[in-house]
Amino acid sequence: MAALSSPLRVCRGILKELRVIQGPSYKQSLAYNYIMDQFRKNKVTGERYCRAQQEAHHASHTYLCLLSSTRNHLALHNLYHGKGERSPEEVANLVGLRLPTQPGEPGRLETVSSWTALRERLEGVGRPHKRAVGRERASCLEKAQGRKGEEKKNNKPKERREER
Amino acid sequence: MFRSLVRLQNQFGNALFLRKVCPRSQQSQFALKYSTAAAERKRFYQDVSISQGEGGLYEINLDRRKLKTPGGKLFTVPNEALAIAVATEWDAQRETLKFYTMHMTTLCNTALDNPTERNKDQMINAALKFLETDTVCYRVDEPHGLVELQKNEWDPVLHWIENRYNVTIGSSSSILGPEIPEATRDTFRQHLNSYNFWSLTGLEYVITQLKSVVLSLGMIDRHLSVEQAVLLSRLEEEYQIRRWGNVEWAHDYDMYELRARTAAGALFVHLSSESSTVKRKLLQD
Repeated sequence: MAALSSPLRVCRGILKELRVIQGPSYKQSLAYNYIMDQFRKNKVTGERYCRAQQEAHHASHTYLCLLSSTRNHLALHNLYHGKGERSPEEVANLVGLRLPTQPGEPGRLETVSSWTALRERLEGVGRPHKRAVGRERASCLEKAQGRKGEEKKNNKPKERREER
Repeated sequence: MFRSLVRLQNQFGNALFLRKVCPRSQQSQFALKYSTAAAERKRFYQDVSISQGEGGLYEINLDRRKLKTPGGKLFTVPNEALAIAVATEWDAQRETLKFYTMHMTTLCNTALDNPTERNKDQMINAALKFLETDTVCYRVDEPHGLVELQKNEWDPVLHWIENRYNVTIGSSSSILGPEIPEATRDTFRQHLNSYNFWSLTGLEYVITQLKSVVLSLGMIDRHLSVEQAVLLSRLEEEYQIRRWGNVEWAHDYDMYELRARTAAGALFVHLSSESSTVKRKLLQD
């Protein structure tokens, strides 16, 4: 039950997380220096069962868990819950109306040529489909992290077709 | 009537004038930092660094200014590791400040400000209240797979804690839960009393998150890792996920949030209750 991954793996994991946080200059950060210091200090021990080493190992594992889960939590939040409200224009477009541009002018009705056009308009608003039962855990998260400026539209039609 | 209104207005006018004349101290600036929920605070600093102040306490500096708690006090931590963790959190913020990701900072603020003005005994009582409704002690009768899972996963932890602390905590499937003898409660009370105030803040936080005293103590005593403790706490949910499928925007979201909070709490307790000294051993030949 208490088997943790090796210290080397934990150290690499923490450094990876720091790199994500700080960018290319992560080696100058406080955290980097402290972590490397701690790992070096606890590497060699004269005891067979060294309690301080075990404690340090557990603490490093905990810190790695903290960094990675905050990052994943933030990514999921931005992906699913970070959109906020739709603007009035988007709301009108959802049901096929266009807002009036002049005061006193009535709203116009947009004609929808086909179901595909309507679906594309809905997808154009850019909300990921929430009913994602059975979708693999890793897939969305990886997409979110690799997204960084990619258009969401490129991903959406593929997934919709898979569900069909 | 109008004259009295005018007089009132003058009074208020003077008060407003006085407030404007009074120089805006740094305290009020930083109190604003946490207060507005609607407007998002932008990152207003470039560098985060730590410095050691009086009494060996560490402080965080955002650019040139010292960090303060929401209560207005100077933000001080007793050791360097905690200060570095908090500094990393502040450094990790990109354009806007997202306080819900800064778990260590929140814990430090709670410990420093103590907004609900509790003392150690109250916190220990609140923590022990969770013992009566401990997750690990509540078993179901019905889906056979879940019964098996609970027996296989939760029983070892119960045995471990019963051996470690020399107490009896049973498990029960009735609606009232197990009967916790007074001796058990006293043992735990004594054990919790040995932690200092900061560690107790963190420990109570972890217990509230995991909804279980047994799992929290197992994690703090390094018998379980954070992921294992979170998995055991969410055992029924995991069973249902395996049965009915995973919903990423709910299940994963909750799991990562729980993991982050629990990890922060555990780290906080460890850092607040440890002190390390370096002793050099000479090689004997």
